[in-house]
Amino acid sequence: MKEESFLSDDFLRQLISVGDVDLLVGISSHNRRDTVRQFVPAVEEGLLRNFKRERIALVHVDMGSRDGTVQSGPSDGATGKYAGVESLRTLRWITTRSETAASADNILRTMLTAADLLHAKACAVIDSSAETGIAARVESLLLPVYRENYDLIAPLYARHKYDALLTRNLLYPICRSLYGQPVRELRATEFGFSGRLAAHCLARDEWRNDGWHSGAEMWMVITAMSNSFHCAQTFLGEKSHATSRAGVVDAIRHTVGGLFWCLESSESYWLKGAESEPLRTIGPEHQLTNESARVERKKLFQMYQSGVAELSQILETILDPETHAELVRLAALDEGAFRLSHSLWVRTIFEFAAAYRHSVINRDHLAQAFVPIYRGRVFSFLAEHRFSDSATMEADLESLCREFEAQKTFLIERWKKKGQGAP
Amino acid sequence: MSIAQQADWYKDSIIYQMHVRTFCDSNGDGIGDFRGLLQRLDYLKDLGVNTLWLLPFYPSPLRDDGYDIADYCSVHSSYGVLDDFKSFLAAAHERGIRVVIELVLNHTSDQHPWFQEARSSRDNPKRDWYVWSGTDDRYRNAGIIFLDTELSNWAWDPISKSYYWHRFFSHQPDLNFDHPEVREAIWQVMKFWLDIGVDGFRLDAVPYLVEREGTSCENLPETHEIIRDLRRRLDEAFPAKMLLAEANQWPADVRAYFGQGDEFHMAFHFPLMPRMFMALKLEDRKPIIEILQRTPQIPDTCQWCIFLRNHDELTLAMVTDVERDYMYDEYARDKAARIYLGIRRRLAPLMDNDRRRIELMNGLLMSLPGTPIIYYGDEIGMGDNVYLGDRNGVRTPMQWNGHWNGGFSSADPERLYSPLISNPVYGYQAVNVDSQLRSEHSLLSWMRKLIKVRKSSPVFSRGSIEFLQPTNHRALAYVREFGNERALIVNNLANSSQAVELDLRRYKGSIPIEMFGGTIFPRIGDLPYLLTMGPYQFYWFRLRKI
Repeated sequence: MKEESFLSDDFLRQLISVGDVDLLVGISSHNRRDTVRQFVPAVEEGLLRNFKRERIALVHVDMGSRDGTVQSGPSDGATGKYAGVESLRTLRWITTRSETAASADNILRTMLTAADLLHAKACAVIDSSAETGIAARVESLLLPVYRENYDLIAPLYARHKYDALLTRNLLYPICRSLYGQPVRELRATEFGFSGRLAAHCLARDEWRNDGWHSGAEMWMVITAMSNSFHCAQTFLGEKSHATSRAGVVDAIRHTVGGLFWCLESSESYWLKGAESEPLRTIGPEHQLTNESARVERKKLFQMYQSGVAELSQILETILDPETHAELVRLAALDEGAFRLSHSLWVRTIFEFAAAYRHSVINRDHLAQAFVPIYRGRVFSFLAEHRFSDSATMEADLESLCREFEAQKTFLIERWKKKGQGAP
Repeated sequence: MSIAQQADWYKDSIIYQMHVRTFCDSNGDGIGDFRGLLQRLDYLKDLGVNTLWLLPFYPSPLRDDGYDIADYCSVHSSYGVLDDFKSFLAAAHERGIRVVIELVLNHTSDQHPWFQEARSSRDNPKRDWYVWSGTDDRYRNAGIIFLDTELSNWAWDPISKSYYWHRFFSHQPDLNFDHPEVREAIWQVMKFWLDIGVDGFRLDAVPYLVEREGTSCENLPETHEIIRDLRRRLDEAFPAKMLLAEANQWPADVRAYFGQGDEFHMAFHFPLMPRMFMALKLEDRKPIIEILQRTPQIPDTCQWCIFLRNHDELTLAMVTDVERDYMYDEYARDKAARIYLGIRRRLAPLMDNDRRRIELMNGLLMSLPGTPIIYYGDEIGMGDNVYLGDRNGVRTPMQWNGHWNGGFSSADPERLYSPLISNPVYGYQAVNVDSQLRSEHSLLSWMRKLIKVRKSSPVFSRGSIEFLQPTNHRALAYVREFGNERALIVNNLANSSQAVELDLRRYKGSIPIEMFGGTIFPRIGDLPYLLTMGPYQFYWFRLRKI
């Protein structure tokens, strides 16, 4: 029954009235009444600069706004004009809203469903918290799909050097080592994709799995990579930093749980040992910037110490004794001496992944147990790179990636071993 | 049947445009003529058209398909003699068919006696009937129309050693309408034909009648004054006759040619035509609605003329660059089909010979506001030949049957003024009147039905239009209303089935009756009225309160 009710009657009615499209652009919003007015014309500008002839629909997914965002947002029959340039066709807006704050997976599913039903050739999801370069983002994500037949366009950003640490310490290196493609932003809120990929994703069964709700965006990228879809990444400028509605613990738990679920759902691909492949980067490379940022490092270390102590019993069931012992030993060190090395970090992650695979404990608890380990890694990372320039940090990231590669065999062995948790 | 003398008869006209040369050859010389046309009048009557618009048939060197007139008051010998025309006109009127003839006011042929006299000497009384200059640098703001062939609007006359003004080809010197004798002479030409009995004139190239320094020499107030003068004389001497303007301009500019109801009775709506084609290819109603919303109101006694195709190229002068590129890419990918600023194709080839699309386009033609014009041969889906040069590919002989020369002429094929279309798809063996008359389901039979339904209600010829805005933009829906009659028109512009929800609450209680089959549809209520439509399907409903 759940499957039957995913599309509301109103949304379906709007899809019917729009019919087939060439391009589909999705934006989500949550209490953005003040910014949506600027955002909408910018999206139209990006479309009209390049796609004057195409059949275009824009899907506005509002996630339970209470501030009148929907009323301030786009309406169907939008102008379709920008700076004297006019679309030959009617630019269609589809609005769907959830009374509760919808999750990213629902937004993605909405977009994939719309793309599939409307037979869209190219689609893009744009982060509505972006404040600049919106038109360029639309172009960057759609053009390679529409004109060059790419199936997935992942974003690249200019980020502060302390930004996206989970991505740089975990998601990027593990993606590169297991799937052979150096996708910098595995868990993106903006991306482009083809109708082919949308249809492929929708035809799979993973939607019904609870794990999918945590890792939907990553799953889509991984599905593309592991099914020979044509992928690339494109530079979009600065990453916006919308205030997350989820707490840090929830965010880490969500991401790590989602990642491990993705590994499980795509094991047939990476267990074979994917060969590394170059990934086309469109535009400038990923960039790190050096502005100062205040980070409460001391608290991070304290939380690592308390977490490792409090979760000791759980960690014992997840990790090898040697790994666990090493984490405990580190917790006892003075913060000035504390370093969580690449080697230990990767080994810990892989042991967590294998434990997840074999469900040695409740998977949600397992993901949550990873939180203090991650905090320790972040503390170590910040200490090590307090004065590093971007080249140094990039070299260190390369070193981390090599470590992931080096320990891949270990993961594969642990993963395959039935009944294998901590010894 | 005789011609009723209703003053605004042109509003109820269904015009059939044709060149006498192309229609039927009675004497076997390979060229159509008035006696041949007379023989085919019953065909036109049965088709349902009630007005013929004849392209120029005057004596002419034919360097511009007859638009270079050498004698305004006679008939080109290839088409017969004046008495033949009179016989044809009487026979047309007997069948309830009016005849509108072409008149080129702006210029004559350089072979016209007026010009021959004018150039003969600077002292000749007719010298100032044309526009002369000692230099070629006057009126520099006026654009050149035929950029492919003309470098200047001035041409050197070696006989009188001075330059003469021509907005079109250099062999077509412009008349000087500032000269009262010219105005009088042109009125006398009109009077000549009106006395014979013609019902109206299609006046060619009207924006260019007068030249003034520092202007574009187009649409000048003095031009409107000339038109008003001709119209006044017409109304006084020949009530219930009609003037139709050819002005390939934006609707707001053409509006001036209706004046206060004291200039032209009708004018072509040029920008609508390419947008109908564009809307079909885009599968989007936007181009049609936008241009009609930009179309100003016209006096009650006036009417727009709308058309799908004519003897010229499908002109793209009244579209944006982006739209023109799109039209070329979609309708003339083969560059041989492009000419000047347009596309030299007939309707059927433009529609890929898709019967559904041909029907939809004709449905639009017959249901949108304005007097519709059918270009000869399009009612049977004739093809074209882009390799015949200029626009001759859309001016080939009418295809009457599958026999010798398609029934057009008994002459040797080599002698025809133009080769017939003979390819397996559009050739006269496959596409001809006789074969289509044998089938109730042919395009010709369908066109006859369409015209009959159009004529069954004045809402189409005289009604107002209100566009509906269903969320499905592939649907073009409108309500035509005249007096107590209402018609609801819904067109699916898409090549796929569509569901269309219409907000018809203001017509609550009405029963839609499909006009082609008389089928009763469910009564309109408060809920959105749902129609499911096949690819390119359209509905015409009469809304009845019963």
